[in-house]
Amino acid sequence: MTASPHSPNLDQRMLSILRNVHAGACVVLVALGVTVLTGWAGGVELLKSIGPNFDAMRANTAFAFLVAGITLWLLRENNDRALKSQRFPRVGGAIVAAIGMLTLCEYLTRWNLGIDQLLFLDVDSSFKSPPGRETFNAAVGFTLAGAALLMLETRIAQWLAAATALPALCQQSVTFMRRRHSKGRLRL
Amino acid sequence: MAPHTIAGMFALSAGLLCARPARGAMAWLASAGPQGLLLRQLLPSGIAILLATAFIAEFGHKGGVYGAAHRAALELSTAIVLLSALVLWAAAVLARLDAARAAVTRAYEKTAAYLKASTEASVDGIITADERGMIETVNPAATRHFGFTAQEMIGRNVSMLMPEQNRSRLDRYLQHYFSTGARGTSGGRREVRGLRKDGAQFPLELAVSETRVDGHRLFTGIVRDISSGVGFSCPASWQRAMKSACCSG
Repeated sequence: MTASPHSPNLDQRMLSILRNVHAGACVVLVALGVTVLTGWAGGVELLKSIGPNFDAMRANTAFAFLVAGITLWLLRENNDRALKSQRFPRVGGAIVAAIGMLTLCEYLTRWNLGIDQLLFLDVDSSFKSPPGRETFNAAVGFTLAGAALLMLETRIAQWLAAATALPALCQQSVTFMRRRHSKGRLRL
Repeated sequence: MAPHTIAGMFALSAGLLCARPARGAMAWLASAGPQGLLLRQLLPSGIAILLATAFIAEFGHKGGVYGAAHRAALELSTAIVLLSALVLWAAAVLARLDAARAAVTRAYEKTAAYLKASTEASVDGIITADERGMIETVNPAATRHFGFTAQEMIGRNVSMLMPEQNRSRLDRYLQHYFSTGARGTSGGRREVRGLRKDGAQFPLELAVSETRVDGHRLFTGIVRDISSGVGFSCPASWQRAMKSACCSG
C-alpha cells in the first residue's frame, strides 16, 4: 500500500501563540513610535523618554520603530492583499534598513549626512553620540531588521531577525556587568 | 541605548521571528514533536536559570551575605547544578517520548501486518484511489480480476477498469459529487461492468467507501467478480459456492 506524504506536524496552540506575539510586537512598535514622535512634536520630555529616569529615545529611532511596526503588520501571514502587492512592505523595509545603514555610515566615516535631525531639531549634547543620532547598536539593529523585512520570505530572514536583538542584548549585558562592577548606579 | 529602545529592539526581533511561525527555525519551536517540546521547555528555562542565579548572587552580595569571591563561586555552582538538572529532565522527557513512539510503531506494524495479510488473502479485489480517481494501491485479487499487474494499474485512472460507455458516467458522477457532496456510488453496493486487460467485459459487484487522509479524500473500492453468479447480495449462492468448493476439495 502506498502512503501519502505527511503534512508538517505543528502544534496549533503554539502557532496561535506565535501569531499573537507577532501582533503584540506590531502594536508595541507602533505605540512606541507614535508616543515618542508625539513627545518630539510637542516637546514633552516624558513621552520621549517614556519613564522618568530614562534617556530620551531619538526621533529617528522612534520613526524606524513606527515604520517597522506598520510594515510587520502588513506582512502578516494572512494579509493576501499586501503580500500580493509587496510595494508598501518593500518600501517600509527599505526605510528601516536605510535609517540603520546611513547612521552606521555616519559612525564609520565620521561624516554627518544630515539625517540625524531630519525630523526634529535635537540640541541635547549630553550623550556620547552627536545630537539626534541614534546609538551604534540601534543602527546595527535597524540595518539587520530592515534586511529581514526585505527578505522575509527567504530562509535567511529568521537569522537576521534573531540577530536584530543581539546588539540590544549585548548592550543590556554590558550595562548589567558595569553595574555589577561599580559601586554607584550607572546611566543606561 | 535607552531601556525603551532595548525593549523596542526585542519587540522588533520577536515580531520578525513570529511573522512566519510555520517556517524555518520557528517551525521547530511550533512543532508538536520532541524538538518543539525541548525548545519550548529548555530554551526559556536555561535563560531563566542563568539570569536568576546572576540576580540572586548579586542580591546576596549587595545585602552583605557573602563577599565577591563567594558570590562568583555560588553563582557558578548553582548554575552548574540547575543546568545539569535541566539536561537530566530533558533526557527523561526524550526517553518517555521514545518509549511512546516505539509503542506506537509496534502497534502500527502489527496493524499493517494484519491489514496486509487480509488484503492479500482477500478473494475480493481492493482498490484505493485518490479524489481524481488515480489508483494508489491494489491487492492481488484485483490484479487477478482485471488481468493487469499492480505496476500497470497504480498511477492510472480507475476508468481503465471499466468499459468505454461507463467512463463518462464516472467523470460526471465525480464532478457532481465534489460540487454537491451528494453520494451515489460511495457507501452503496451496485452491479457494474468491468473491463479486463484482454478487452473482455465481465459483471462485478462494487462497494465504495470514502475516508480522509491528510485532508485528502481517499476512495476504497471492493470489487467482486460475479460472472460465476456469486455476489455480495447473494448470501445463499455464496454459501452454496463455498459448500461446493469444500466438497469438491
